[in-house]
Amino acid sequence: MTNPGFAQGQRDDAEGLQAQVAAIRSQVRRDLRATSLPLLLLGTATVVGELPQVVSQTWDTGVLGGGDWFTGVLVTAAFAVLWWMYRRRAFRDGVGRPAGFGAATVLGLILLSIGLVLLVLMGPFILFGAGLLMIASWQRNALLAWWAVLAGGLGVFEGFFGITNRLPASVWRIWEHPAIYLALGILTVLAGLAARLRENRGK
Amino acid sequence: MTGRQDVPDTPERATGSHPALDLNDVVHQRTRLGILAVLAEATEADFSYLRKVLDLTDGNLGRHLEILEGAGLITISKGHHGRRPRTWAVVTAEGRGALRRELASMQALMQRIDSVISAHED
Repeated sequence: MTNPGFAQGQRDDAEGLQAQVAAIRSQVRRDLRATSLPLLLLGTATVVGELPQVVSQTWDTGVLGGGDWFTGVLVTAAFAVLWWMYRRRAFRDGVGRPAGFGAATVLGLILLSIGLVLLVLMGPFILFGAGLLMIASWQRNALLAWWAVLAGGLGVFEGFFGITNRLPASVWRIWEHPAIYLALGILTVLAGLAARLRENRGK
Repeated sequence: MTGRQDVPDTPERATGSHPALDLNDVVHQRTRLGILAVLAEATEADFSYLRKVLDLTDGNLGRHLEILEGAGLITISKGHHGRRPRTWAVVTAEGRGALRRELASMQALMQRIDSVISAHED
């Protein structure tokens, strides 16, 4: 026959351990800046790459005129910075390791060097989505994975003008394509800020 | 050695006669559960980070790391950063699985006890 007092003690013990595990995991994510850092860096790279196109009517939006190609380079650079920052954090604070970020950078460089055509066809969000998905997989971070699929998917869809071609024609049409990328970049920065606030709240 | 590896998969275990039987003695200990929680999140952490986060002494942490390493749940590697020696702990796939199973077992245990207590009160 079960002793209710003993059973309650077992239950309290299990509940306490589960709470301890949750608190520790939260602290490690905070120490790693696991969610905010990738979102802020990638979002900023996208904004910096797309903003000049949106504000300047005269800029050529083709391959050599900045824009998609330029954003692709910046997103790749963001992965390299991310890799360096996590590596530095691993050596300085003793937590985490750079595995996965190096691979994301290499993937970006390969896609950039042999896949310029791919980049032009699909846009910079193929790098954004694939790289972020790799980071999410390395960190087992569901939030980053969702963002990679959502923002990356929308960005790649727009890479084929999937969104632009569904909008009614307007005088803004020339800016619609980079403006959609810019909006995704701004949303990514905002998501990164929200994640940073959440990470800081636990301090 | 204690733990899941020593307990054969009997039909009773397979049918889950009592969730407490599924608790792994190696993993269930509070400090070792904490070490696995850190490593499950970060994959890799050094000795000083684990000591700081879990608020442990060197000897205590070292003993628990040895037990986890002996059970194949983590691997330990030593290296240097500059002239500073570093000891790194890395969670294995078995370690991740053990932590996941332990948390699931605890959840099942809590549910079981809740139902037993409510039945007792009725």
